[in-house]
Amino acid sequence: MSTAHTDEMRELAALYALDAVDATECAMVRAHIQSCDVCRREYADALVAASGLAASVAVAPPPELRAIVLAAAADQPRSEKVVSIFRRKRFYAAIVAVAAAIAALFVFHTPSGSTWPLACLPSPTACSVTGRVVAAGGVLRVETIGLAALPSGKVYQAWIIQPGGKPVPEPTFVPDAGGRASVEVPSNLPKGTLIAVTIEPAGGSLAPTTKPFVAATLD
Amino acid sequence: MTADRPLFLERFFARADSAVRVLHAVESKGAGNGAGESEDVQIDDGTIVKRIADGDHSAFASLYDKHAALVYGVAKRVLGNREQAEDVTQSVFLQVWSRPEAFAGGNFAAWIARVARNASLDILRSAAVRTREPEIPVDLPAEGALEEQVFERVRATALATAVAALPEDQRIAIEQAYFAGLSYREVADRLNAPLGTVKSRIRMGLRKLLESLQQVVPT
Repeated sequence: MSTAHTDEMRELAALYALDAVDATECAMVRAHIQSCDVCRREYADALVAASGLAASVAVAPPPELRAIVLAAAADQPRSEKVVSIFRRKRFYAAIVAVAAAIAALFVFHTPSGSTWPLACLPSPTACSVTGRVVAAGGVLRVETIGLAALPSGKVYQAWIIQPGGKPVPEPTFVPDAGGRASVEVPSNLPKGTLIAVTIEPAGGSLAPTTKPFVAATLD
Repeated sequence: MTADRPLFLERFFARADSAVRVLHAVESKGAGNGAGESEDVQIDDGTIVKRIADGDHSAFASLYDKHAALVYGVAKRVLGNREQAEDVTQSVFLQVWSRPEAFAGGNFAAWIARVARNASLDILRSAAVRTREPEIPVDLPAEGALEEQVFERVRATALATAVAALPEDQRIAIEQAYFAGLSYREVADRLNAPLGTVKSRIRMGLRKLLESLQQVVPT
């Protein structure tokens, strides 16, 4: 779904480059940018300015950090997780944050027929969930892999967030022993709609009580 | 999810060339770590990352030398804490070492700056309640040659000056959004300013910053 060009949308396009819009606006702006040359240019220019902002604060790290990082890399087999190297609690948080950040940068809305990839969202906790949303039989099937078992009283819940709209509650579900789960949600959703998953109290919620940790954008 | 980059992302990275030139300008100024910079600093990042994928430790050292100041600077600015910034710097680079394929090409400096910012913000807002969308590159227009040249020649010292030269209300609004990771609504709340005013400040500040960056190009 694309919205008409307005001055406000152009303003939001600039804010979007700073990741300074809310989730619902984010989907709307993202969809609009793809169809509006003016706002796409606004966004692109703002991105360049944002990069200048980042570069303006560059500062040399402590010299000893170089040796620490290089030594850590030398000790780290590629297949092992980085978290095995350091023991400091805050370093775990940094590792998780970086992994989430990298995952976030690779959340592409890449329509491939009627399939959209699910990807982890930035989160302070680790997320290794993958999956996809598949249009099939008049519904959208949310297929997830790698879901962790939840403690008693907690369930996973799907949400539909249409551009400019509030999260709409969808079915709750629990993964099987292999961490797999599949749940169906309505189809015929506008372009830019987010399909997200949160952890909720058993029985589900009318509005998310936790931050979505994985999502797909229908585009 | 990282294997096949869609066309729009290729175009995004092409467009982001100007941003990376800003970033490289800072690095070439000598904001490196000052600890034994490697001889591969002048090799392009894509080549270095490929060598890292082959397990080349000297290439990893080169990458660190080129980008440590940027990563550390962004993390330190966001977190306001030297030790946490060091942790983020370590984890960012070790993630690159362990998962070089996460960077699928394009402008490495812009990419790693974003990873560092996102990772830092995730730590900063580990208890945050705001639901945010990840930063998702969208389809962007092709880069203009003139603008590329502008950023290729921009002097690094001008970046901080350009930011500092922004009207204070605009600079504060931009910095709150970018470095504190706030939405414009949150910025408005924090500054006790009307939403429209904050949106306008951020957009105008970004435009002014872009213009300033262009104007500081030596002729």
